[in-house]
Amino acid sequence: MPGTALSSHVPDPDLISYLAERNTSWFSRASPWTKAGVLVWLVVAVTVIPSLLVTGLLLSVVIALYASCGLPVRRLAGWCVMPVVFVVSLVILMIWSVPGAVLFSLPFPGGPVSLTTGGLSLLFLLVGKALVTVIYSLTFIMTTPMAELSAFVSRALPSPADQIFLLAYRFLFVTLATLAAMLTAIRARGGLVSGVVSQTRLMAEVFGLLFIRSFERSERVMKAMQSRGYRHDLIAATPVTWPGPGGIAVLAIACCALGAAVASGAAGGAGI
Amino acid sequence: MAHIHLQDGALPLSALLLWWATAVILLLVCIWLVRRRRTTDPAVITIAAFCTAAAFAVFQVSLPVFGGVHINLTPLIGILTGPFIGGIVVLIVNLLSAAIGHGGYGMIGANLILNIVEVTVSYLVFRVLARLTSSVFTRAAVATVVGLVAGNLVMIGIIVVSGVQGVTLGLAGMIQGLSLIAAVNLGVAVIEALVTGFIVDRIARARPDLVRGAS
Repeated sequence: MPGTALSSHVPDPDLISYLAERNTSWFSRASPWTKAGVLVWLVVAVTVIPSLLVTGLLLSVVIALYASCGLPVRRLAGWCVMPVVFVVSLVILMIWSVPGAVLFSLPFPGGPVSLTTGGLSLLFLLVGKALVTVIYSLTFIMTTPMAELSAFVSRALPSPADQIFLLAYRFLFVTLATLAAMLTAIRARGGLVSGVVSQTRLMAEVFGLLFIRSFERSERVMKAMQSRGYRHDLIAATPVTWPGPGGIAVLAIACCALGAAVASGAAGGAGI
Repeated sequence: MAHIHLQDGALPLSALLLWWATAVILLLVCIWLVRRRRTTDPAVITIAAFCTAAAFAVFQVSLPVFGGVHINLTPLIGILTGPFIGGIVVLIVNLLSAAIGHGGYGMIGANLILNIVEVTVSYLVFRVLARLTSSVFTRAAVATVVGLVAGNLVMIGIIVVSGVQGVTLGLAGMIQGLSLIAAVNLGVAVIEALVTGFIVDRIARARPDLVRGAS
């Protein structure tokens, strides 16, 4: 079976699992609850802080955290491409005529539009904010063994969402490997045909086959599980450690700092 | 599927809370109805789980059409699993996607709302069209286009109501910009409609038991 990496711009679940199981960094020993708490804190922080400087600082901290955990830094650049493209593709239409010094103007039927320093800063700000949570999220999932993550998710999600999540994770690797094998087979037979309809039809055949094969495989797994007593109560029994005093202290200090920054307007105020 | 590709930090906190609260209510309704209808038997859970895994896998493939487009097959999820299980499936696909950087965690609420709309509309159109045509391909393709158009309208509504932090464009300017994105999305929707039509047609021929109302 080939690996499950279908693109260098999308994190490979096999690699994520491998790193999560093997990682022995200090961060891997932290409670998943603490890590999730920091994630929530970061989401709130990048939402309420309008400062490019603070965002840059947060980005530096999460990159340092990522690197200190011994995670693959070179691959991170590739994985950040998609989130950056997503943000740019949407925000590029909205950064025109933001107040600031004009960098250049473009003629437009409804009047000229200008790219200003403010518009450019806004673009950098939104990209920076995006990368903060993306890089932290990758650090989180690559330093938390799947047993712990599953147990954490099964406690956080109500039934049957937890059952679907746990089974989906179980089927994910097989599905990805099947898809990768089918795409390799297509390339080995001369690659993709030309023409939009032909290409669409070919990919639809691949995806249709993928659905049918995956379902048949998952049906076999399900029957095997039922024969062993599964009654839609898949339980992730791994104990999930609660945050220690250090974790609680970090979260408390972070929350107080964020609250104080927002209350005083020191987080950036009106300026970007 | 339509997907608000903004990451964390783009929408104001009040909007995130509003969309999250709405999404949680919708999700709780889905879970309540799933439990009430006793559709939590292992077969349904299996279909939902494999739909989740396959949708997530397919999302990672760039179709070599128009320079490369991504599809997520939300309407297919709706057609195969129905709106209630489909709502749960899109939650998990969104969680997995956010974990690897495709859409922010804060945006899951907003994305969940528009995905549930897509799942529900596609499912209903697919079922209703059974009275008009026996072609599974046509029903699935039309259901996909209608579902994705509905999803796009919800996407525009969510962004216009929320506003993007730091953006000073007026309502008209924002709608203009978003309409351009929606137009591109609709081009992708046609591709997704063809793909979904072919997939459902193929599944209906190979495993009719998987497609409710296939015959």
